[in-house]
Amino acid sequence: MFILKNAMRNIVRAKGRSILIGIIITIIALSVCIGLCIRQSAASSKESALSDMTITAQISMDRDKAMSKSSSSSGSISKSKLKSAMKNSSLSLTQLKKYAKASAVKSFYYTLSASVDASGSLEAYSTSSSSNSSSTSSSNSDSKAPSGMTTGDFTITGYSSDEAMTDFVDGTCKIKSGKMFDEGTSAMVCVISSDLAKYNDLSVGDYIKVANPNKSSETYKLKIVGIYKNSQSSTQANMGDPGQQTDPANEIYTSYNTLKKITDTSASKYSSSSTTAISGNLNGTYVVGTVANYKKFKTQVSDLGLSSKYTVSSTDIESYERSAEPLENLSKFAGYFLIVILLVGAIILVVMNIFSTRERKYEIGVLSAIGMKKSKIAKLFMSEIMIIALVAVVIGGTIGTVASVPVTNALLSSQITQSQTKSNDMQQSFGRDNNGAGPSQPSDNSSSSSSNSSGSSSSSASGNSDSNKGAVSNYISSVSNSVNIIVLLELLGSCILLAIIAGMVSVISIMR
Amino acid sequence: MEVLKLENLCFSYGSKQVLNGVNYSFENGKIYAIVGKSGAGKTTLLSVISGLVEPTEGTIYCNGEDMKSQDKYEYRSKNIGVIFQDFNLLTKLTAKENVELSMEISKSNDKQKIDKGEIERKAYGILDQVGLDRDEADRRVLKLSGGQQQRVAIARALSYGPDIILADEPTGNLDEETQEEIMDIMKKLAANGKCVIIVTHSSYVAGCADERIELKTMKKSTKKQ
Repeated sequence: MFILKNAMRNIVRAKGRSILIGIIITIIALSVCIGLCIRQSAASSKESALSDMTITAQISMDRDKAMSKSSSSSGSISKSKLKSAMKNSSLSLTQLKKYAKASAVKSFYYTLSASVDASGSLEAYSTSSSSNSSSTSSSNSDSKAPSGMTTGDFTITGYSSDEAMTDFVDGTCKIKSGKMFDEGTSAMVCVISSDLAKYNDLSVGDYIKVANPNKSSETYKLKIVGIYKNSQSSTQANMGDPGQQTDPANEIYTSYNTLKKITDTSASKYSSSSTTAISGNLNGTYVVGTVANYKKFKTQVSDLGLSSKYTVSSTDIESYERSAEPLENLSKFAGYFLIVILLVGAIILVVMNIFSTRERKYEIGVLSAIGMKKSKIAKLFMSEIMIIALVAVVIGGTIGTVASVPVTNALLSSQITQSQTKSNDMQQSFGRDNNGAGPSQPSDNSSSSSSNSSGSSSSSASGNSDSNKGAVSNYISSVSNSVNIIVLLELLGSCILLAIIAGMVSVISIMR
Repeated sequence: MEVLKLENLCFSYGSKQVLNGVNYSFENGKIYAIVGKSGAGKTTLLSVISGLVEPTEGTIYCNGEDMKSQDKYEYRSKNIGVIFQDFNLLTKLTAKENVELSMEISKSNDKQKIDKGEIERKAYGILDQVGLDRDEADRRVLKLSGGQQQRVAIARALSYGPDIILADEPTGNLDEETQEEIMDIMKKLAANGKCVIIVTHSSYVAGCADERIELKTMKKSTKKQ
């Protein structure tokens, strides 16, 4: 105890030196606190965002693998090999349902989507002055149909259950009039967008006629049972010259059974080798819930026999990772900053301590001469720096805690602005207006959330293409409550370690 | 009674032999003055006796015990009190704190409990014995005169009750009057049974000693002869 008492006395009596060391450690503690808070915010944002999310998974063709298998030793792709690999690559409903039996899967839903043309008095909604009622040829880059098929004015999607209609589940779309069709119905009913209804002066109870884009004489009549409003329709319009078919207003929703009936009827009219029939793209979505289950699902599907030419992915996780990109970048930067500040701080403290110890040689000599053991003198010097460090950590940590949230948010905002600028510059290079498109709309989420994405999005026929129906990723733009017990312990630990390293200089000098 | 015995003591700084076969006995209740030319090894002898440096050869017996068998820090904080020419006080502390620290170190080395109140009382008492009142005791040493600082050094050396007091030129930086005052204290210590060994150039101090040791020749002469 007399060592601590003497250490305290020495600190008080040598105010100048103590204050100087204290200021240095306070600055280090403050910077380390902010750095740790940023990293903690990133980690806890990710944890809470992912735990709040209901993670879904999709199985799709591993296009990269297919392309690498189709490439020759010189690196060029063999189109015939690639076509052969891609042929019959879509999984059937039976196969998709098989994988839904994995224990990691909480529920499973599926959709069937097809491309149809307007028929009769029906016109596709369009805001473009040079709209085409149908686009032709397989070279159309907006086409989502397999190569060789014609794309139509509308996308008609059949849902297996209400759960599958994620835009309605998350509130993006809401029925404005009428009602949603019954789950599992095979009646020829549908719901259309309010924009399309207004454009064609349609209301609930009216009928619309759609046609096979490859054969206009093949038509199907659907009764409008409901009209929905898409709250993101204006922001989800495609960039540049919007194609009618990809405009959210031109999306028609019906039941899976209804659309299956249409595609089966269409297929029955032509030979099996013909590509004239309306073809549907089947997408399955497995609701796994958590990231852990998602990882488990990936293992389980291969145990259930999924071929290696397929891959399991999650648009939710991918979407989250996009929204968290600025925060992750900031976290990485904070990590490097932490290392630099600790290194520089250690060097400064060590150098200061070397000079301080030299200055106190007389004192060390006297203490030794009057019988104080070297080990006790070393303890005395170490105690002095530890006491100063503890006080400085408390002060620096307090200031750091208060400043961490505004500093983190300011840096995050700067990161987002940087990302936006980069994105805008890129769009300007392509001569596109970036209003509302892509991951450039920061939302002011006070509790570090989240991204919006549609649930069923990957096409099993066309590989890993992300055919989000108007998905918008919002960057995580603010954090809160970044200081917790772990941060405080890490702060204390790192500053104490610094103090020990600096103190060891004195100890070594004294013991020598 | 013999308190300190030097047997065939040798010390060299590298190749330079400074002490060569010193043999002497010191008794309590006496003042010994070690004199000699500069470079004769007076301070070196004191350093060896106080345990600050180890002899290259020979043995030192303190109260019959070989010094080598004791922990040197315990030896320095129990058996020997050292007074330096430059006082060697801790300048950031007060006079009382310097004395207290010495007692605390001694008790700590002995693994004894440190009673703060008792130590404070003793410190004031010892400082009073050497002629410093309470007000002077509570002053920082830098605010004391040379003579007062030397008194503090003496008090510190006495704080844990050693049998042997070693003083290296204790009056070297002091005026005549203060010199006399300090020597009066030394005489009192000897009268109280301490063995006081003083290294000095001063003829006055040497004159106060009971035995005078000329280091070069190790000739002994007593004042009382």
